[in-house]
Amino acid sequence: MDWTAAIALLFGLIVLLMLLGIPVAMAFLAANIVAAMIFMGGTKGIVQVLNNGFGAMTSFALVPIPMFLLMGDLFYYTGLAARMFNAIDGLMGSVRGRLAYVTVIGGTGFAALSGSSMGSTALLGSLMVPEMMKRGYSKYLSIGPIMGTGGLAVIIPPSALAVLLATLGRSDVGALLLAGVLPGVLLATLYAGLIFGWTLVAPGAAPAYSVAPVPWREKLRLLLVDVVPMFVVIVVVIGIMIAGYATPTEAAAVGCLAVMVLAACYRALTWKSFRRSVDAALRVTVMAFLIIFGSATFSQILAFSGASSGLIAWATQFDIPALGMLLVMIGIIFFLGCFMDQLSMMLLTAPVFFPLAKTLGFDLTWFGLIMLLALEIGYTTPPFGLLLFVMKGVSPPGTTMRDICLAGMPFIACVLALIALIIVFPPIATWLPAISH
Amino acid sequence: MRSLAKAYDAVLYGMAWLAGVLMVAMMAMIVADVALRNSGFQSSAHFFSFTEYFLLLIPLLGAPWLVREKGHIYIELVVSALPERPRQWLTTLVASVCLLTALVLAWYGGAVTIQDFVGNEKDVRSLDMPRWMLMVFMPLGFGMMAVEFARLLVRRESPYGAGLTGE
Repeated sequence: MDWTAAIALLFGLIVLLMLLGIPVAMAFLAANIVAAMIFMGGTKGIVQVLNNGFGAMTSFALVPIPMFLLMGDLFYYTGLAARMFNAIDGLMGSVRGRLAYVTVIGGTGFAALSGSSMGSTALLGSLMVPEMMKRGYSKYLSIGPIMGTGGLAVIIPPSALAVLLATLGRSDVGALLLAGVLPGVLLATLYAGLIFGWTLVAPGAAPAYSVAPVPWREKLRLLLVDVVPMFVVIVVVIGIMIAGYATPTEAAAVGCLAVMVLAACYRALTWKSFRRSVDAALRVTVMAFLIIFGSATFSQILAFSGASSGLIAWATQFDIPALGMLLVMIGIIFFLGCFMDQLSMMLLTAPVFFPLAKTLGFDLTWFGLIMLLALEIGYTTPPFGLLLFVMKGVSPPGTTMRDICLAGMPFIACVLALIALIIVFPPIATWLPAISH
Repeated sequence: MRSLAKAYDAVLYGMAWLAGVLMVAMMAMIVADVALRNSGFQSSAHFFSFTEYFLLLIPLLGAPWLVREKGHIYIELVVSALPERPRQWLTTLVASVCLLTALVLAWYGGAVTIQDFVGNEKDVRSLDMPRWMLMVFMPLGFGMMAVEFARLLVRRESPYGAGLTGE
């Protein structure tokens, strides 16, 4: 079978099974069984799927995934996240659009500690939207920043998705995690700039209201007790990776412990919150690892059948400049994002995109970061971006899908601007990983 | 029959519980390793190997429970657009494909486990681990997943959770 048929069969089968509504992990496994039987010698192929799965899952590079998930869930279920938000709210004073800024600042902190777009959007949505609506904020300014900051979770470390992407692309996990720091901060700044401009042009979108003054002593207490310790955890987790004291795996485990110690200090670490955190982290871990189980064979079959090399040779023959190819790849992710979750998109595209990026001479960390940002946009694009549905679930009654999509647009534009910036000035992504080596 | 079902449930939830314990143990082991190494002690290379083994065990122990909890994500694009009747047919088809997939993996997983046992195969890392002791979790995990999908079929239950993403 030539490589075009192999590609059509592999991708076609996976997409068909997924569209039928078969759980993503099972769709991957089923398609791999069929393809392995065709390309790897009948039932021998199935044994190969199992052996590949064994090899792929017992890989130390994947340990940060469950650890980062557990860390984020502990942060959420022990109530530390809500505590941090309330403190930032108290510190903000009476700036116009203050609640939107609170969302961006708090959301950035939450993204850094949790690494979960969905968790972040759900928490911010239920916490901030009712308050913003009550204060007369326009629905677009209430919902937009939440969608935007939800997206930060994927790039600001610790990010479980970044670990998986680097593993799939066989690039440096630590480098990709660190590469997200500066762009993450930059994106949060772009969001803040957008809100500033928005409230300047349309003051009615965020009516000013008087806030009961918080004495400076109380502000100091809020800052030292409820904000600084959380940021210390973030700085420690990222810092020990940059300084080379710990690998991403170790930083993830230490971060987990740090959040637990912090929660214990606030007397928030109850058996119930601990159990709920482990339960939530376990759900995502099991699902992600089942997909990884199938993906090992997926990329092997792509290579084995000549599909990877065939596709790369085909794609590079057109004499399209490297930048053009990059834009095509980003476009494909946007398209897939309309109806797929990030994990599936990553597993489908990474085995082809990373070798292609290498052929084109791209820095794989730089490319990985751009891919993460594109995946994030895919998560928020209509009609089926998953974050849209999460947002809809936590928005007040009467909010339509159209409202949510429109509210997200300016923030998606910020991510696009960031992608453009990273393409033009690669050091935004590559500088921090370079100095840590 | 009822006591058999109860015992089965106990195994299913027990396995998920064990998966959770392993996840926390993994964290504890890595932290201990970092602490030992940085305080000048020699840490054990076995930490490393067992952490890797846990990565295999956690999903296989938790997978049947995730089916029971309807925690898998899926694309609801087609499913949600269908009227009641065809949707029921489709969910039956979905559960059947999942059942078949899990059965195939359990069956061949069992065959590989027996092969490894008979051939005395070892997984060589910091220690020589008999490979069958790890592989046996594949027929166990996928086999119980198959039971869970069969259960959905028999009870004519949807494999999807209440939310749009199945969560």
